[in-house]
Amino acid sequence: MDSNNFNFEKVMVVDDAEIDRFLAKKVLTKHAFAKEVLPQDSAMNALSYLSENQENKEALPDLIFLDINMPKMNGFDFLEEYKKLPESVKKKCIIVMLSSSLLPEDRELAMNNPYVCQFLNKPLTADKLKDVANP
Amino acid sequence: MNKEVKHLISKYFDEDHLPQAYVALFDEISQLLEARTTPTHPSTPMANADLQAVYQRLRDSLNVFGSSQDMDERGADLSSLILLAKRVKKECANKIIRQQKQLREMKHLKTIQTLASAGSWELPVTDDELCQPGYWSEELFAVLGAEPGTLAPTAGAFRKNYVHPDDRQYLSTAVDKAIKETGRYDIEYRIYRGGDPKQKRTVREIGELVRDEATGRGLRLIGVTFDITDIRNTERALFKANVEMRKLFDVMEDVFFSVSMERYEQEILQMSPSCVQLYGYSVEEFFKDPDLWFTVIYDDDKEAVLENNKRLSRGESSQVVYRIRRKNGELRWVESRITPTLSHEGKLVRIDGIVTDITKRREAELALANSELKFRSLLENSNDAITVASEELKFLFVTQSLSRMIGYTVDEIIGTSVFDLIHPDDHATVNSLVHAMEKDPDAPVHFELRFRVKDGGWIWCEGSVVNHLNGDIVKGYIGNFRDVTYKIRYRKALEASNNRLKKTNNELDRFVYSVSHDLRAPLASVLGLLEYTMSETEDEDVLQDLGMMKGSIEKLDRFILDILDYSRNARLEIKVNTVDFQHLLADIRDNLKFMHAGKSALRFDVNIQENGAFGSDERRISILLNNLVSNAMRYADPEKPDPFVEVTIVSGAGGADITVRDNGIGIPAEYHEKIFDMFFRVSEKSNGSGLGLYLVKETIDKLKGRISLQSVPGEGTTFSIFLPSLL
Repeated sequence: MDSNNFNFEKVMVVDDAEIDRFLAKKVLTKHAFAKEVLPQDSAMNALSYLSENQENKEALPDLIFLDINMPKMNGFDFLEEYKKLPESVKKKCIIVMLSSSLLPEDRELAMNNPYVCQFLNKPLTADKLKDVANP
Repeated sequence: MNKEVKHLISKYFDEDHLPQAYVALFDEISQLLEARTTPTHPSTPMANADLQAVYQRLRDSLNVFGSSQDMDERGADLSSLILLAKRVKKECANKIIRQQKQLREMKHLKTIQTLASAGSWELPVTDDELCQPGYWSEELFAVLGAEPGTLAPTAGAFRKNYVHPDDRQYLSTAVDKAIKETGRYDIEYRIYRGGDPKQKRTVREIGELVRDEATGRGLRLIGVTFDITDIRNTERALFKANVEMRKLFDVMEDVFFSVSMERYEQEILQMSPSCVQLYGYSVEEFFKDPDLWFTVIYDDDKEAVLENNKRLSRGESSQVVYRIRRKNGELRWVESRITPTLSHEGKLVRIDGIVTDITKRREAELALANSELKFRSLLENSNDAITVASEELKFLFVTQSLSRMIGYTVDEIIGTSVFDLIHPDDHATVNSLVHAMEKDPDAPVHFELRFRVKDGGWIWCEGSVVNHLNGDIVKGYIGNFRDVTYKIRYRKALEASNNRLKKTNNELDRFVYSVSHDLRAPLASVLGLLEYTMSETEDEDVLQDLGMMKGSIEKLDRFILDILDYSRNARLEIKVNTVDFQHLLADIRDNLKFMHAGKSALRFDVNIQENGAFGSDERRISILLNNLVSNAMRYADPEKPDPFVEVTIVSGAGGADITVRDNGIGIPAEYHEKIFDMFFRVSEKSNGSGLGLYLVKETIDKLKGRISLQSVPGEGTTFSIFLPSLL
């Protein structure tokens, strides 16, 4: 992969685990997947960010890695709220679920959501990124 | 008119219908009498010529009556005339009386003929033959069904038109013989009424020859012919009835008898032959021994029979059942019904009776009574309660067993409402039972209801009730139930514990998921970081250490996955869907790509042949295939130039044959039996959890399939699976 040729400008990582946000940032940067990584430690914060920047196209992420199991508001709750955001936001963002959940129901539920384009099992590796970049 | 004459007329004639000739005559007589009794014209005596004329007329009249001979020749003087007139008057009266009588007799004869359907006739005999027409009475025409006058009354016409062809000769012969010899005949023959062969009638005919006294030759044949069809028919029917009666009498199993009681010793008048069948004694034997009827009575019953027979002397009929001993010693039950006849003085003169063998009926009655007794005893000793309730749901009948069950006596229960004995919470159930039975009578409806116990408290009863409101023998709702309190309690306890178990199960399931997630999440993080770190360094030692760490963590991760799969297989219901093997194998391939990324260059071949819809639990099939394929990868033989795993699937409505074949290291024969055991591992070096094949076996069991393996160490392993279609 060409280190100077980023796949995405801005990638948001929504995960409550610090180690996963940390790892994601390292992997995404190392493999030149994203020019800028926007870590969000909760679904609420992620939604606030998107909502606040809904008019600011530059600030919106091109892709969102979304964890499922998070306290207070989980990945699916996030998707419910995300649905209400303006089309401008939804048109720009691609959502990839990134979870350690093994529940087949979770995978099905995620894949049936119109805004989710992929479901990945943690950990995030270089191989998996390749799949996202070239589906 | 003269009073005397008038009186005479009124006495002997119907004045209104006096023949014209008589009227003229009476007028004349009247005038004559008037002339005699009216002395107003003595001074004008009649002319001699006139007197002479009157005289002559009176004589003529007397001549007509035929009584002038004995009259003295008298002159035409007035006294003679009066005498003559008196005479005429007398003769006239006599004639009228005679005519009257004749008329009556004629009418009488006619009526008799009509009533008797008897026609009379008279035919002249000429040279011993009946050739000339004669006289037929109106009734003869009626008997023949002909209009009077439509036919010349000759013997020839009669025979030709009316007599049955087969009987013509017979009639002629009889008539011939009567004319020539016997002078009389009395025969029966058939005629066609109105000449119609369909109207066959039978007549009796009696003919009498009137002879010339001098020559003895036949002059006239006088006779009567009457229709006796009805009489014959009646007679025939009577005869037939008599014969049948006789037959009946002979074949009847019942014995009829009549006994005269007039003399001191009873005398059997008649007895039907069936006594042989019933008593074994013949009619003759009964006649010979008048006491035989009593002798045959079973000793113990004799008194009862005698007692009953006393009614007969009082004129009451008797009916009594008793036993008799047949001639062969056999006992029979009989029923006798006797009707007495009393004389005017109230003395018993005759008895008539029937004796019927009722042994079979009696035996059946006894058997019935016996079976009733048995049935009742069964009912009473049964632990099930049997009840009959009216349409208003009041108990009409209950068995003792209900009393034992709930403590109330049978008498206390009878008449009370069903609702009084059933728990208020169950009244709605009772109503729905009634509703169900209304909809479908004859179909028993199952129930579980609480019944009140006399000492307080309730018992659960289970049973069924059926609508027999329109039944023949028992009318009502028939219930049949038993105390199942212990069973219901047990069931309730079971239900409660089952619910608890379900809850525990659910909790456990959730626990397994949440634990597995909580365990996996940090593992995944560590794995990620390890991989990242490994990609950052070139140091061989560090890479080796990190690789070992990674292997260990992956093992732990798989272990968690296996436990999760095991838990899912054990707990989740089977979800049957049409299995899409193409899609399923593609997922497995993807999955393995991540699992064994860059680890081995294993060839993964898939051959799928789908011949129709195959139904099973796709997720479970996925688990077992994942396990078998990843095993094949894990135990691939690194020495071999072309390591592979090959999955072959042939599926259809009948089931699916799945083969997973590899050319890996193989499994020694001694382990073939054990590899499906839980936590069994072939060697310490093996990287698995020891759950994989166990899970495969469990999953196949769950899917009602079977698995077998062929394996040679150093050559490879083949797992053969058959799964039935569960659609």
